[in-house]
Amino acid sequence: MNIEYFQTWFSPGINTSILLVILLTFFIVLMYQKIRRLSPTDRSTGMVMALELLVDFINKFAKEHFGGYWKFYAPILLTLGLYLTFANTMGLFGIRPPTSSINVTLGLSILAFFLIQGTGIVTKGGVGYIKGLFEPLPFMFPLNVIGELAVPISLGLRLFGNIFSGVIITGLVYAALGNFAPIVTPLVHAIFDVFFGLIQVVVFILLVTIFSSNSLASEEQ
Amino acid sequence: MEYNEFFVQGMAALGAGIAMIAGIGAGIGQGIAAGNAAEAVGRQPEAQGKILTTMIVGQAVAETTGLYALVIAFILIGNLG
Repeated sequence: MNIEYFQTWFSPGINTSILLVILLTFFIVLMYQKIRRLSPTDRSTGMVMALELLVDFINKFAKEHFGGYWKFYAPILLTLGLYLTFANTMGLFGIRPPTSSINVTLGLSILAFFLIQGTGIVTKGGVGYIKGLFEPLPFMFPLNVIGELAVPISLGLRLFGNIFSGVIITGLVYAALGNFAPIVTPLVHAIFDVFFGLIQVVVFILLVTIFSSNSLASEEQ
Repeated sequence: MEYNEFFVQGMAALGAGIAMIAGIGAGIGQGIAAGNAAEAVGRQPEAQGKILTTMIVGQAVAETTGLYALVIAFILIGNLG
């Protein structure tokens, strides 16, 4: 890791992102083969049990926030969570995290945009959705549109800023200390990759959930 | 005074420094959140886990404005070459 490591700031993180997706797909296919052969009477152990707990947790979380629609949202949230967890902690393996590239995080925010707006359009219907943009007063329409656009952009930029600043600071420490860097860097990696990375996973999923369940809830009244 | 590329670079560096003033807001916000969380733990020590989670999520959201400033500062520094 040297100066060039953080000079290519806006370079696409596509390579590492594709690598991560391939690894996750491989892992999921492997677990699918394992789970398919289980009999329902057996007690699950090890990795399978951990996955069961995770799926249970996500299902409960989705039921809390989405009510009857939870079956659609739970897989999306779990996928986002798995991807972001491994993407944000990738610095531990000496790979630049894909989420430290603005291309990847704004891609995720496009996904969040379609999820939030799609929820509104499907549950309120086209007319109700457009009517919702003119509330509470008709002249608020531009402000509402800007507000809807700002939500996903702020989601993407928040993730990018956090992970990217971690990458920069880690790179600076490596560049400044040279051969003595391994004395300090475990702590730096623990803080910026693991702690902030995992917090950002929670924040991203929580905010996507809250914004999409908001566009649900106004319909039920 | 002549407005050559060095002038532009110097101004970009100054701008990056000025942009980071926004960090004050994020710092004050996070401090208030942490202070109130400490108060809440003092009042209700058994709810410490929930308070800690809420505080950290709230702080992570409050940090956003500071991070915008950071992104802008990085974009400006990118011009230094």
